[in-house]
Amino acid sequence: MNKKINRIGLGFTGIVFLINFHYYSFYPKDYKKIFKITETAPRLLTDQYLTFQKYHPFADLFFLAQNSHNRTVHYLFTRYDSESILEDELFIRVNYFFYPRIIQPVTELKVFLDLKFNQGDLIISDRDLILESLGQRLKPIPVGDIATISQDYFFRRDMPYYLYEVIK
Amino acid sequence: MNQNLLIIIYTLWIYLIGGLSLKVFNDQLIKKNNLFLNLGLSWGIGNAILILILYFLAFAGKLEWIQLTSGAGLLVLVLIGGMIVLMKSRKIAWRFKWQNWLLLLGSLIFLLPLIRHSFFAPLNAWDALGVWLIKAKALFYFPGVIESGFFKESFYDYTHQDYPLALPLLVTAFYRLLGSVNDQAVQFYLLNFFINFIFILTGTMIQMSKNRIALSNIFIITLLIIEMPNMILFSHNGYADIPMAFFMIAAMKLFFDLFSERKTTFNTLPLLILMTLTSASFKVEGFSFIGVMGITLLIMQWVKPKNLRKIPLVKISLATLIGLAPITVWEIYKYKQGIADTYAGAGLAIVNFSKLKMIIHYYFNELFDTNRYLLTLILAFFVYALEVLFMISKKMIISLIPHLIIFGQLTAYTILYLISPHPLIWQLSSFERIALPLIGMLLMLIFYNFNCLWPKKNES
Repeated sequence: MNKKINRIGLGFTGIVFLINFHYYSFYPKDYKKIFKITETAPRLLTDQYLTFQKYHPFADLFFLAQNSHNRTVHYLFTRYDSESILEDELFIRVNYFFYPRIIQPVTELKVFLDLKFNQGDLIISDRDLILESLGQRLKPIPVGDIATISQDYFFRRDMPYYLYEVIK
Repeated sequence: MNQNLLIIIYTLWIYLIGGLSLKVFNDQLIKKNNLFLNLGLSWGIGNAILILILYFLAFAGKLEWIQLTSGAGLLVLVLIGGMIVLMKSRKIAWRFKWQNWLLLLGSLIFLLPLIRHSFFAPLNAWDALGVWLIKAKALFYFPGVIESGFFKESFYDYTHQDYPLALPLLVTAFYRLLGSVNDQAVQFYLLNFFINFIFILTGTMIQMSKNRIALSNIFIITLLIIEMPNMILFSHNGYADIPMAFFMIAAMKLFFDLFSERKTTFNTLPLLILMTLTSASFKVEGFSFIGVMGITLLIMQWVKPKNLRKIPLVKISLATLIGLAPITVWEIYKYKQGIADTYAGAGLAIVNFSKLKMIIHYYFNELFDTNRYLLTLILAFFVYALEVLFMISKKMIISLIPHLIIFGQLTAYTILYLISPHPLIWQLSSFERIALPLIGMLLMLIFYNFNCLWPKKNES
């Protein structure tokens, strides 16, 4: 192919590349947010696994799972829908983070409130339980405010979740 | 030992195993191929071999054999093997043009944000957590498929327990070498499927252009492919679609070679079989690809008959064994254990042709989705359509045979959507992912068409 056609081709693909790059540059910028939010510089030769998990929109759930050994975990999951269960972000993360433990969800609030809770038990819920009868026995475990967590193409959390510890 | 460093060594080790196997079994292909194609094929072969070994260990309940010490031992063995092979054929790396190395470096620099992201971002994608890597965890905590009990536990029905195991097993191997579940750094290993997907495309472009298209143009086209948001999104997020797409387009490239080779040459057929079969170890869409590739090969043999007496039976048997054993073992296990099939209930009885309009509408929506593919896909499709029209007008019908692979696979998807018992909208939502191999094929076909329409003067 002669040089002239190659030059025209380069010009054309170059213009398309520049138009596209306007959108592509969004991604490298978003990656950098991870380091800003975790306040950690990435180092290839340092193990920073737990540090960067803080960036996860379900980070609090992750750390709860890490520290929940030998503790009973109750799980209220009122939006259970067997047809679209794989699309529920909380459900798949509870199962993933806690594996090999199976945290069987209770899908009705009434049934859940009738459960026997002991001091030190942990609760994961898809609804706020503070105003329920159980509320006075619970100490909320802070869950990162979604507004403070960077939401981008990769990291999203569409529905809220709540974590509690049974204190009495 | 540092976990990031380990994953880099582990990844390079896979290239080395694949490269050595390619060198031993098909040295001719290494000489014919450029740097990118050799890297891509080495990655494919290395993983295919690893999948066979991992399936064997997983069903024997011996995954615990994979440890840092055994891994280091194997690494030393492979290095010794590599040195022996390289002693026999020196200068292997320098055989490739320096421009290729420059192009490789440029592409890797452009990929740096993705490489960085793969090392330091937490795993967060739906199917990665819900379907694929939860199984990797199961196979990390227990020494085998049977011992894990995961695949018969009704609680985990939603994870599609019937899906193939290649991806979870490959990830498990990494976890076991590290001794912990590092689902963050493992994304670097997964990113290599995307990098090699790009390498196969770039390598094909270089080979098909035969020095007529400047490398600067090829570089820009490579970047146009890399920067497509849908590619970036699935490049290392723990989904099995890019690994499957990688094996499919590698098989397609090998089909181009087979198709254009002399009547007595089957040089690339064993590898083509291996790549095609391995795609089905990642996702069920690979099964339709096996069928489509088989039919296309038969049509090729019918239209452009090759001398079947020259077929390399031993190499083909070996490739078939490596590719077929994992999927056969898994299918037998599923059948014996009564693991529910995601597509159970599918059949012609529930076909409703009114769905067809919506399916085709969805396909076109995908094609024109500039959020996912920027301007690249529309322009690529436009060029592709023009080339095909031109080929038809020139009555180059036989040259269109490789196009059967992309049309066959798209037809297979359409049939699957029509006969599937699941809601159509839910099914179609997967198209953004299973379209990735089709996009790779489309881009390759553009350069194949170019080569057919305007062959280099001394070849025409």
